[in-house]
Amino acid sequence: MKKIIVLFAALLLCSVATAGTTKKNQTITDQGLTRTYHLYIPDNLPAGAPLVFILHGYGGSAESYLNNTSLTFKKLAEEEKVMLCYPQATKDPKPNTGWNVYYPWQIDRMQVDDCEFICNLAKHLQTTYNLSAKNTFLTGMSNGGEMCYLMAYRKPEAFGAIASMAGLTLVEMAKRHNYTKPVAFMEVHGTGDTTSRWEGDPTNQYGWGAYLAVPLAVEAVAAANKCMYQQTTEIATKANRIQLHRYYGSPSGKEVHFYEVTNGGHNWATDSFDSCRVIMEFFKKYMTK
Amino acid sequence: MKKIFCILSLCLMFAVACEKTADTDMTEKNDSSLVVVSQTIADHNAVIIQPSNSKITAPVVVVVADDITLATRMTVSATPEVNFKAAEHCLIGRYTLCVIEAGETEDVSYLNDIKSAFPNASKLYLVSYRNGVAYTAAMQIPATFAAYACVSGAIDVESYKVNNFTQPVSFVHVHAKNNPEYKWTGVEDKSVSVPLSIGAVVAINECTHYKTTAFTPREGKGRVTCTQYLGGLNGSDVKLYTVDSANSGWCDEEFEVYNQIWNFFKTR
Repeated sequence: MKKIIVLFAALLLCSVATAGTTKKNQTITDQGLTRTYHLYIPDNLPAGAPLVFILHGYGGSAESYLNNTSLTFKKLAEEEKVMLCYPQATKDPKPNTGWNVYYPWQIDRMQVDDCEFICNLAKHLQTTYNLSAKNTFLTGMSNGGEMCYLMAYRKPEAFGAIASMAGLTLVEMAKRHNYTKPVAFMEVHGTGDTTSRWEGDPTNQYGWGAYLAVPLAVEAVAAANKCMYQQTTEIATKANRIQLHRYYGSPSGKEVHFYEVTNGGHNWATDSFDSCRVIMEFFKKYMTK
Repeated sequence: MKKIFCILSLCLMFAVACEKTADTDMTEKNDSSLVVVSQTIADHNAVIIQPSNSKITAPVVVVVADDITLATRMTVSATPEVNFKAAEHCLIGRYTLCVIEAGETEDVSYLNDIKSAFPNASKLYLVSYRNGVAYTAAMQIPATFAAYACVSGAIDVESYKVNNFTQPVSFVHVHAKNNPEYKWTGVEDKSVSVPLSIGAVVAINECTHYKTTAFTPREGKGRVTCTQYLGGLNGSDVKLYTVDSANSGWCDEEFEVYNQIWNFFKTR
């Protein structure tokens, strides 16, 4: 009987933790295309609440991210009263679902501008749900992480902070764009990631297009922010060793946080630490009233 | 001040005459001796050291130091027991060494006058010693020097607030991880962290990747690694020598720093 009560209590807690409303398969017309997205709206969301975009990886889907129980974003959204938006990428020329970040097969063949799409969707949601434009944030994994870098180049003013998981700066991005404004930025990356390699791929040996070594990509953001000082700390984890390299002292006050996951793979590093909470805490640093 | 300089020059000349100690870096030493002259360049005190038989077109390595007396003591020792490597190295490279006082302001336009002081020099290179002048110069006057080096310094915080990197430059930085003055992680309101200093150059050069090489450590001395940042625009090259010690000087006890810097320079 006790076991049943404990189980029931646990289930109740879970349901309370994510008691908000999920709105699936919402649509918006953008650049002549019908784009879909899912929303998670916490209970009692106040006016002017923050908005967080979560972008899926290459070949992935927004729905799988929405349903992924190892990602704690919904629980955190309830705690912090933040609306979550999971947009869906279109199919690229391969054809796989993917954000247009200048992979070799996307260049000149994929017309959709996903940066514009996300920004237009942000404006739509801010207006429709009375959300804060200042407190709009972006995170994404892998291909979604690449979008984070591309957004930092192209739309730094659209987000209060940006957090990339296992993302990359394609050489093509660096060729086409310059960082023009400081942006609060975060990267979590495994040194053992064999998909988005820590050491970079300058010759496109692995097919995703040439890309920067991850430390150089992160330090480029820190340089654009004119961060002056750095601090490295060990993070308590359940599995892999994680070091946080914090770049700070920018005249803008915008920091860059770089989590180096020793031997970490191509994932959210949730077996090592609550990366979603770390991301949300980073965003909270830049929430304004 | 002139008197001090005259005395200093005499000491230097004396030292040059006396000094011929064994030097592990000296692989191409020729029979030339050194000529030392002190002069003023754009109101900045300078000491010029060159091989006696150097050509008028010899390249010039400019070393900017906050305290020229200290700098010359480090480069040209008046006492034969102390190392003489930095000055004598210009015999190997057959370049002219110009040690110049940094001055008190962030304005590095005086370095443009170096050109007129050496109108026939084939190339000019800049080293900042225990300060951030090379970085400021790379921001303010990136085309004046063929390559830049910073030894035991970093970007000056005030300079970074008002200057930006605007074009690729070839840059080498030598720094001990436990340097107590220019700390590796930066010093509040004084100096930018070393990785962020070199990182700013790496970023403007759009380097794509890097490789790290470790030197065999000298007995009882700290380990030295060289990180070379590759794929930069216009063939620009960036190197960071990380020295595992608390050396706040040339780090010449740990590795052949003058050779490394000169080898970097001469290919630019």
